Amino acid sequence: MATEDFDIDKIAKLARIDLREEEHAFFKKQFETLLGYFGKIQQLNVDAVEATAHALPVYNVWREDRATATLSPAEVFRNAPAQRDQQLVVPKVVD
Amino acid sequence: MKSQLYQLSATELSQLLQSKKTSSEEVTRSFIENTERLEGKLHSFISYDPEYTLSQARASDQRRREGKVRGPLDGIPVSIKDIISEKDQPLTCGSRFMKDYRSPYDATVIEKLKAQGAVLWGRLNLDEFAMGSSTEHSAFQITHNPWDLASVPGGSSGGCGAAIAAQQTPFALGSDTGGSIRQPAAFCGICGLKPTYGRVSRYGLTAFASSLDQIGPMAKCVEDTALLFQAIAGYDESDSTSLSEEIPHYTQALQASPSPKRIGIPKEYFPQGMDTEVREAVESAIAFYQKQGHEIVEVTLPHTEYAIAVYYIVATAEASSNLARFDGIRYTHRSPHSNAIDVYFRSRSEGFGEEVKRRIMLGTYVLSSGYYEAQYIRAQKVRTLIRQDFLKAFETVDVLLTPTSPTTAFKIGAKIEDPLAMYLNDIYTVSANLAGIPGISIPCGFSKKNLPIGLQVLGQFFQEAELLQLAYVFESSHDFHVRSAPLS
Repeated sequence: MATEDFDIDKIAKLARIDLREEEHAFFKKQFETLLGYFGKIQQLNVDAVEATAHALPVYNVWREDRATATLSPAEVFRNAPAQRDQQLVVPKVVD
Repeated sequence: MKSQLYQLSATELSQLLQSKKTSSEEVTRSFIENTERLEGKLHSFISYDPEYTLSQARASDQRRREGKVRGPLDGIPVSIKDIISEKDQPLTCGSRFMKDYRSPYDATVIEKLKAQGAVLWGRLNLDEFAMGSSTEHSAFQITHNPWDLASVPGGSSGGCGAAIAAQQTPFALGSDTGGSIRQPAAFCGICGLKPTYGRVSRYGLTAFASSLDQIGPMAKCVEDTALLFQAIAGYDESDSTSLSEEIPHYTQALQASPSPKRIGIPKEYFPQGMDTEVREAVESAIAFYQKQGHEIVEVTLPHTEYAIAVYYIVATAEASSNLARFDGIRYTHRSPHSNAIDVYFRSRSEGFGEEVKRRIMLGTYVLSSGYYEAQYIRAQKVRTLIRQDFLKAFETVDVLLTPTSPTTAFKIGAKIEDPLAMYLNDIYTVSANLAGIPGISIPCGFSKKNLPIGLQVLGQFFQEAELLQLAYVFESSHDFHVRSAPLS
């Protein structure tokens, strides 16, 4: 695996994680080791191999469209960091 | 000499309850008292609520008086890894993010346990979001191994392993994504079963890597493992990956002796330079099975050396996607900022611990544009080869015998700063998750330092009964599972 082009700032940004300065150096070094090790899989020729997403076959499942018990709004919002009138309060996203 | 209720197995307790020689309240109090006696040294539990648990025990006793017993689990305490939803109880997942979260609903496995009268007893410690092999990555506490307080109990279900070995609970539900049931079972000298992928509903299990995660039982002995597994196995319409294969009678299956089997020994699991004590213990288990009339055959799983790399690419990719839901908007922790992007960044940076951040970033990388094909898709292709290795081996043998872990429990702090060393510890367990097959770990010996050694039996899809039978035959002729940890 080409670790020299591993851009930790870009990855942290994509992952929505802010890295402190000391974390930055520390993770970078670890990723170099880990990605170097993961490079093992490049040794194999897998051109003719199908990818496995699930070990056992997984099919779409259909069921009757029927009404069942659901959580009450109070139960749904109990864990929300901020709520008002049975709605999640979120930061402003449009000006 | 067993003089306390907490020293008995769940099966023994169930018999005592059935013959009315004790009550669920007495049984439950015994475990609560033993927990309170030891918890200051072990830190197995993230939370427990004796009053809530005792009220379930009293309800069970009431049912028994009225002749309305719901089965062999009625009145028996069961503890839960703190990543499985239990209505109105805390669900921290070992994470600061979820510190104040309470489950709004029951996981299917919890619903099943409640329907069978089990007494839910406490929430057990784990590596944050089940990511780790030592339970040192819990945001709240490090759990100590009752066989040696300076050593880890394994992980990520380390709280389960320690609590069972220390007799704080008779048995527990854990989850296994790459060995998280089997490795702590091995480190703590107990039994742990990872079922076939799809055998047990994942509904209500906080997702780490959805194509690998399975809930399974951990217990002092094989009989109890079968008892708890029986209670949770089966199709669930709330989990579209659960499968509707028939469920055998696992506890009854133990009574029959297994027919002669062809037992495969994968040579890649016994490399040159492996830990001598682990090798000797597993080899003597192999000799035992041979003496019992089973045929021992050397087999090869040639892609074993790629398993760790494949596992940590696939699992981190799935984790980065599953954990995207923790954005500071819906679940408990939100960093106070006026700008939505700042809320995402700061909530995640404050809420997640180091190992989780590491895995999210690795997963983000292998899924990112330009690397997706070369990393993620390629890993999934090698996953196919690993799966095919097992299918091929199972053409000639019925089960595989291996060590569960390359070593006994390591010291707290020994691998925490070296993630690759920590990951390599999972070499014997991750492949079963990648292939989807079941595996069980039972104690098969002790090191000179008196640390337990685990034997793993891997089987074909849905052949858990066979694994339990073979484990039970071994256990019945040995006393490793009845030895008490120094702190218990």
